Amino acid sequence: MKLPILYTMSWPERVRTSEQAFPKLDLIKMGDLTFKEPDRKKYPSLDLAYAAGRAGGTMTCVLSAANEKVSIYLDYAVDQLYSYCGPNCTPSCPYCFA
Amino acid sequence: MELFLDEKLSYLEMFKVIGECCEAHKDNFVLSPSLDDIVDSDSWARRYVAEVVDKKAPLAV
Repeated sequence: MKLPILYTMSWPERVRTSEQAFPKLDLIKMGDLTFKEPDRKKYPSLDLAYAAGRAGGTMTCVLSAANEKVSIYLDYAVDQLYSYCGPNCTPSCPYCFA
Repeated sequence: MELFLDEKLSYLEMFKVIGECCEAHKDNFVLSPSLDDIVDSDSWARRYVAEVVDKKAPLAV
């Protein structure tokens, strides 16, 4: 995501980058490209994202915000395994969830 | 062990929560939003998710 983010931050200008930082796509070097049908059961958000895209307007904004908020909780669930307070902790705990 | 199982449950539930949030948004949906509409929708969605998750699992998320 670094390159897309760089584009959005520099737009309408461009930022000169090095070949080390962002190597050019070389299909010959890559050799093979494989394509697979995505597993829609494993990744239920895929269908949701397409539906939001078709709806347009503020729906994609809501999807993105909800997704971000949810990932905070996922990170929190992992942090809880190592947290000082244990299961009684909350996401606003200053000791564990800094 | 329970925490780990809770985490697994939460992981699957998280997709449902996002879906519920989008579904709930249909009432306030704006097809051609202003910047304010976008900012408002963003805040609303984050509040909605926070409330739903706190209701489902107030202690062990």
